[in-house]
Amino acid sequence: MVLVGWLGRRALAPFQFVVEAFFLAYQAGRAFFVNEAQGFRAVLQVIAQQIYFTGFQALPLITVLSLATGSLVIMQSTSQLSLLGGQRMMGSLLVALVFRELAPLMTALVVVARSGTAVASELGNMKVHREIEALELMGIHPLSYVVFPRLFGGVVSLMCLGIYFALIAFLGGFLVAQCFHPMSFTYFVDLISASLMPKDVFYFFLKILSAGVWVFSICCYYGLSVGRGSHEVPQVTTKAVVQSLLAVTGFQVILSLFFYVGLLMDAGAL
Amino acid sequence: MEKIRLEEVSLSLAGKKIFENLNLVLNQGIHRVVSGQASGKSLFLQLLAGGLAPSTGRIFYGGVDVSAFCFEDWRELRLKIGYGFDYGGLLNNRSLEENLLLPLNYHNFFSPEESEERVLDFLEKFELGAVKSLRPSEVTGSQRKAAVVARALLLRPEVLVLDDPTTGLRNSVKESFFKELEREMHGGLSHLIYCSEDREMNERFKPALIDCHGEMSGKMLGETAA
Repeated sequence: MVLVGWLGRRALAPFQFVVEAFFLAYQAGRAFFVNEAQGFRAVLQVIAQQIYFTGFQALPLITVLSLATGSLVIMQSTSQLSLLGGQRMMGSLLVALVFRELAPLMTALVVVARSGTAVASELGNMKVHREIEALELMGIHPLSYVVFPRLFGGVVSLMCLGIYFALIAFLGGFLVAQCFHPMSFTYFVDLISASLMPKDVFYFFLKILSAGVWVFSICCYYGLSVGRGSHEVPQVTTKAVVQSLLAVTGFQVILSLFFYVGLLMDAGAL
Repeated sequence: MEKIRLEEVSLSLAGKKIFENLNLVLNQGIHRVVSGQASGKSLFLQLLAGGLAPSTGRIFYGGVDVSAFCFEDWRELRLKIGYGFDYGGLLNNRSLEENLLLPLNYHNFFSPEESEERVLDFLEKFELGAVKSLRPSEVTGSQRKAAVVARALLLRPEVLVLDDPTTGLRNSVKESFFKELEREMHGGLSHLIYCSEDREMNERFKPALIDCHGEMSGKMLGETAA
């Protein structure tokens, strides 16, 4: 009986953590929108800072990664393109690989590595240095002032970075394509837009949005779980990163599965 | 605020009893919490300031039972309470000036210009003018302490709860702090509750020991408050 109980608790633990992390995100949103005496200007200032750190400061890294991704996809596939239908396939390839899969995933991974760690360790240190306590005692809602701006600013940044990644990757693909299959830029844009379906755009935004919510809820949750010891900060940061990576990749695979099953159903294959 | 009353208040944290069945009435005036080391003085002060909720029992602020208050319920009352930490409590990603400005701007207590003026005045009084744009980690412990104490006084609280307020303060800053306290005592400050072993402060303010002004029938575990 004890063993069954133990196994049950072990099996439910990940779900409990997910529920608690999302409940924290809900409470933060509620605190921001419901709290009457809200220092909106102060909260907006924190949101702007979060967007600056998560979005703007990540641009150089995202630029390099996206250029490399777009170029490599075209480079690697050039030899096969003639078999698949020549340069007309370039658009489909970039949309399927870059826009649909790599842009949301790689952007999320960069954000986990840069900002997820920063958020978890910053919140952990805030707990250790009694900053959260101080906010409460000053009548400032920590969920509204600390968690909500990180969550909202993080999701907005991730959205913008995802779009930026896709655009720069397309540009990288176009530049490399000039070496093997010279074409005009308008023709290239036509190829991309002809391959892009509304469903692609929907899943792209769904993946990015879910990744943002996962990463920042999990990192805030772990950051705030620190007690009084500074030795706990690196431990929770590691946990936050691992859980965020698992959640983001797992959820994106599930969404991709839904997408392809939907395609097969549309084609009447299922 | 007339009085603060504790009825059968107990506090346990992580399964450990800190104090139990505390009955206490704090009338207007200056109170000093005394008890042995690590006996829960800081936790008692946090309980009074609303930073902790009692495990059992009730706390009344001027007749209002606050023991079951949620954050939103507490807000109005909290703005009348100033709290000075014994350590920490400053936002590390903000400069000292921003730390002091935050509660004023967040609650729109004064116009932005008035807030700025009041904060600059306090920064000068507490000899922080030269380091106002530095972050807490970039200044000395004494300056951090001065900033914490200054912030507790900024909102002109009715109840001021201070945990070891003078430890590490330079003599000149301490003198400014005492003068500011005296000015507030003649203004709207009804309760000054603190714990400190500072002989100068205790002799100057002549506080009532907590069981002299109230009736303390319970005990802080570890040592009875005397």
